[in-house]
Amino acid sequence: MTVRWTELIIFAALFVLVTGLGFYAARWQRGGALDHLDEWGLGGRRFGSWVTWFLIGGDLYTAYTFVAVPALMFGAGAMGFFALPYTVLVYPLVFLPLVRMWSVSRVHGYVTPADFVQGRYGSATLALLVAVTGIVATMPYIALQLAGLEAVLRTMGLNGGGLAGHAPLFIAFVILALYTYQSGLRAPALIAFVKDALIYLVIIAAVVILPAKLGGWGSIFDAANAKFTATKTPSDGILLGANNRLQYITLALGSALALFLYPHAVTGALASRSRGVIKRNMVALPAYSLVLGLLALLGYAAIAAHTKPIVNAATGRGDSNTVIPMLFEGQFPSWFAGIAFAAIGIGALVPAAIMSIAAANLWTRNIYKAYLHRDATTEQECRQAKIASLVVKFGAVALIVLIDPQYSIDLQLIGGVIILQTLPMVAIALYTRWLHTWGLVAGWIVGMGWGLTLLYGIPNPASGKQHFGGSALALDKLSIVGWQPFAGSPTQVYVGFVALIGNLVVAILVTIALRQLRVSNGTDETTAQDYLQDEGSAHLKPVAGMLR
Amino acid sequence: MRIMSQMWWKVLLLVPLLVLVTPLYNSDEPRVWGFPLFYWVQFLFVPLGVICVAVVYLKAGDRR
Repeated sequence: MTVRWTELIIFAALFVLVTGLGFYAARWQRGGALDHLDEWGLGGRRFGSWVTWFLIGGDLYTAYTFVAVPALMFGAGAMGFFALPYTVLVYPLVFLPLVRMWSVSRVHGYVTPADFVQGRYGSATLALLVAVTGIVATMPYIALQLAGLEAVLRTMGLNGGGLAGHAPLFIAFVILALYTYQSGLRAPALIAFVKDALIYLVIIAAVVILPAKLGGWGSIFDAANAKFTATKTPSDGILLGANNRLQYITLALGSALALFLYPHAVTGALASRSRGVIKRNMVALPAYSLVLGLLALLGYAAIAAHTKPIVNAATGRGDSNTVIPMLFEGQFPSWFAGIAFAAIGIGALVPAAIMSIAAANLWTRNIYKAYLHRDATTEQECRQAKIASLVVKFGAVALIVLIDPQYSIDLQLIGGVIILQTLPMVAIALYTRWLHTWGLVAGWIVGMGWGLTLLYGIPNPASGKQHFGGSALALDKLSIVGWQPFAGSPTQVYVGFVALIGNLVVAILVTIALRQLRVSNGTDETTAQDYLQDEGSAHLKPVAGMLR
Repeated sequence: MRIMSQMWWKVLLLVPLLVLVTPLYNSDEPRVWGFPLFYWVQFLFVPLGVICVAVVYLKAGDRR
């Protein structure tokens, strides 16, 4: 395969531009010294509505959603559209809890969700569980961003085999790691502006030009319908079938509940200046959902345009992530394809940076400071977090090099199931600490164990894998310690949802038992008023390193 | 009284959950601009969600 020079040069030019911004960001809106976690890890905790909109938008609508969701539509049809109801549901659901999280974190100086759990329950064990769950769930998410970036690089002809084939990805990531190390959360916040400008430009052009070229939306849907009708698989189609209806609903709801449990999403929210900033963003962020929905439909446009994904030279198999890049390559002039590739590539860098910062914050606050170096100074904390952000990124690169990109998507689905198990500890705890510490621990163990067991039993006929083949479980296979209540049913359900119900039931039962036995439930350092404080309140903990 | 009315506005946040009732719109016809019902209904839920959250933001006060 030959290198596509026009695309590559435009991509490289935009990449150099954002690299410059990334290093410059260290000086942007700077408050105090960067050697405090409030500064490096939360951008000084004073982002306004616009910056937050770009930051959280860049954080949630990632390269993965830009390549994998349309790829899913391309392959499976209506099921892939779950991403739209998912992002419709998320904002009404988190609108109230998220501002409570902001307030209590500002009163007590919490940087991570695990900090909050530590303060709310006074239990280092519980905080450790939340921190470890967060880091483990985030790693494959970062790896997925890399899969998106690599899909673009391979489409541009940098499709080498073996270890050397990953070199372009590795170089891009070293640069990202360096400016994240230098500038902290300000780097992705600033780059997010460029990313979104490019994404909106590309999408608007694509949804105007592609239907015109392909005979209108009607014929795009008809082409997709014809393709799915021709295949033997019963579960695909442009409408939901009897088997995947429940999976569609539970996956949309489960993903919506999981989203703001991810440490990087919390990081974006805690970096904002006030409750009002978060609330206004909950109103404004759905603008991205429209874009996401239109993007998803490009998967059908690719069907209508007879797009073929390229063969990944490192794995020797078709790489469905390249469907969207190849659609742009085939339907648009080279220079525009270059801009589209840069949009996807930069769209991978922003979330990857935020995620690695969030994971680094968790490591530093809830493992390093809680267990390894209790009397660490703020400077030591900050240095530790910077180094941790490097380690996390290279861990993610290793994941990509060692495994098939197809497998990385399954890992991400597993990550979603895992992070959902912290819902009782984090989200419910924002409202009540009725659930007992050990009830939460028991629920976590059951939810995690059951969820992973069920995931292990899911094969993927398409990729020929026996285990961990996705997150859609046939109710037939649902077993509660050997008992199969729905034996024979082919209806599918999202594993994360099932495991969360198990988690909650166990947490409630154990809590009732422990309350009967009057077992102590630790001490709560927060008060009811802490959850309502806003910008300007005297109760807020001053942000360290502020000059004014 | 004020607290009660603030609470009632928050019920609006549950309205977007209707998007989960897929049998309401799991159909090809009627199409709008070539989009099957299944797709354009879900697109309409985006502005509906925005309206619900915006009304709660404006009406439910900032203290709770």
